[in-house]
Amino acid sequence: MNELILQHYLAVGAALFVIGLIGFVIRRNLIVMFLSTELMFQGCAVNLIAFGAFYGNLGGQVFTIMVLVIAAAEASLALGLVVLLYRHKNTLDANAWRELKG
Amino acid sequence: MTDLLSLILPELILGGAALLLLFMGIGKSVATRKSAAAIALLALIAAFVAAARHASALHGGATLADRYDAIRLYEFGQYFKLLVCAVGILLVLLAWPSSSDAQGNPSLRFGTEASEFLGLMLLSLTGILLTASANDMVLLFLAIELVSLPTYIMVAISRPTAVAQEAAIKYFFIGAMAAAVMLFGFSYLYGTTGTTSLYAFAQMIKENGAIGALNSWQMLAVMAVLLGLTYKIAAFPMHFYAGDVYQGAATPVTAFLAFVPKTAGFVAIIKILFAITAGTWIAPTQIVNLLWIIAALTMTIGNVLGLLQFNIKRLLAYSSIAHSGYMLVGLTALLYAHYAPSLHSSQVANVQNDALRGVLFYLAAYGIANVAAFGVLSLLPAAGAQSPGSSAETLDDVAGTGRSHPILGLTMAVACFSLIGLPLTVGFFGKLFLIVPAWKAQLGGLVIITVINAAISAGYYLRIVGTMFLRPAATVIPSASATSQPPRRAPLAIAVSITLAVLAVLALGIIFPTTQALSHLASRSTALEGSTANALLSTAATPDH
Repeated sequence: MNELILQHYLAVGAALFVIGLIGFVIRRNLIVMFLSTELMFQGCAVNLIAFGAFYGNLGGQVFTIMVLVIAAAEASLALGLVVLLYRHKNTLDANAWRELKG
Repeated sequence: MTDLLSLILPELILGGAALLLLFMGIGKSVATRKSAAAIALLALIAAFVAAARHASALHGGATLADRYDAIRLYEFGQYFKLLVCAVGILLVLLAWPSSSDAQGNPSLRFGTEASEFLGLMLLSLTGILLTASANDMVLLFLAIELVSLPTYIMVAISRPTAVAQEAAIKYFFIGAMAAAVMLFGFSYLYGTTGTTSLYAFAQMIKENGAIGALNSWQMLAVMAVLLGLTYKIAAFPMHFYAGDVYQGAATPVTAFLAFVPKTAGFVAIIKILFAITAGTWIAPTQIVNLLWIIAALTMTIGNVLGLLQFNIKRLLAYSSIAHSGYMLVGLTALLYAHYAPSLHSSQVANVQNDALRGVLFYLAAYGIANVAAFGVLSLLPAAGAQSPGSSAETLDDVAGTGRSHPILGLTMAVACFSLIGLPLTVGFFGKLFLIVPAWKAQLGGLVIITVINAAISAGYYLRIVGTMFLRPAATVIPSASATSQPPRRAPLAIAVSITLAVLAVLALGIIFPTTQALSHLASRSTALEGSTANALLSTAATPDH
């Protein structure tokens, strides 16, 4: 019973997603927080590819490629924003940014 | 089977204009940059006309779909396209760039970045139009992200202050997380059926007899998608960013944020609910209860936190959370009508139709009043002037301005009355069209919560109006008074935008035929599938009551 079945892939996808979510909540470094959201996206991508292979259609793979596009767009945006913020405060700690409160 | 390109003509116009504007931003000549706003305006008008032509072609319940079924047009989507283009015109006028030394609205000091800024604005609006057309989860996800991604940049470049950048980074990170949660939901929705087409998904639900009884994976998927979308509409579990982001962004951008992502979120939620209920609006009770709880909490949190604010933009942010809550009441009524214990089964479809009409109408009412409120705010100067060229932020800033600027004061009063839902404004009909179906669907508890919340919201809206008219102007420090002399002549574009918005609020509230016209349009647009094309969805007998 060493064969990989759909559930194994889904478990990996869900694990990546949850690890990303936990990382997003507990880490305060802006870059690490962004990497955590990337991890969540990749968890979803694993799900999509697994389902696509399971059903034998291309929907999942096409979806995955589009997800990668979104992830790339978000990466470029995130790095730009992080550089912008770093120039202001010389730190990547998210807690340094708390002027807006209420 | 119509040609794909002709189906997405409005999107092509807006997207093409957006790319053109982004290229023009590179141009060195001032003239090209100055024409940017006019091009954006023309593109929106052209997109409006194109969408209106589609709408008239679809009149009577037809559906237009392309060969791959990725785009399906029906009246529901067209309503949102027309609404978004119309409010988009007002929003572009509100953000009309002016050189920083000119009188007027220097809160958007994007001088050289004007055409990039407007390009991003158009890209975001293109995203909504695509959301309204999309029939495929892939396209729907891409469209929703296209709405959000440009707004992150818009917030960051809207003001040269650290506050705006802090707002942008918060908005971006929570947005990325919410997008991932939503995508997780989409991956399971795809996984339970093997199709990414929403229409095919609905058919499959119908054929499997799974209406109102999704399996646990689908439940998980729907919850994840809804959770992700509550970020877009700023509703309960993901609402907390709204205060910070709306306060940090420049006022015209805040007006944009309060309407555009919210509309996209509601379009997407309605489409997802349509797919999982196979067009019958019969959802599992867990989802109905979830919506009930989200609606009640969203309204209450938004209004109670709104009462505590002294910054007007923050206050309007919390009120925008509350408005999402009101619209969620409409969606709850839509799904609950089937379960209402003593509602006659012949009445269910009527109530569902009314409930959805209420949501559509409310979005229009909210969008217009929102433009007027933020427009007035962007014209009033900040008393302290802590950062260069900022517009009014706090209640102290606007104290007494109602008496020195009666027209602006009255405009703000009309906008606030409409947002409260007082009669003679469009907001009254908006609330009425939401509450009546909810009452008919026997959601008595939720109706009471809504009415109490509307009363609470009157508290802080009237405080804005009261501060403007009754409180004397705060004594300003002499050094700052030079920059904050109130009598600034309003720039023409902003004045036009506010005037149009206020006239619309009043016309739709007082002249009954116009109200009726809009509500008829909304009522017609509640069909998510053309009646002629949905043979498969409508012929199968409705399941047992």
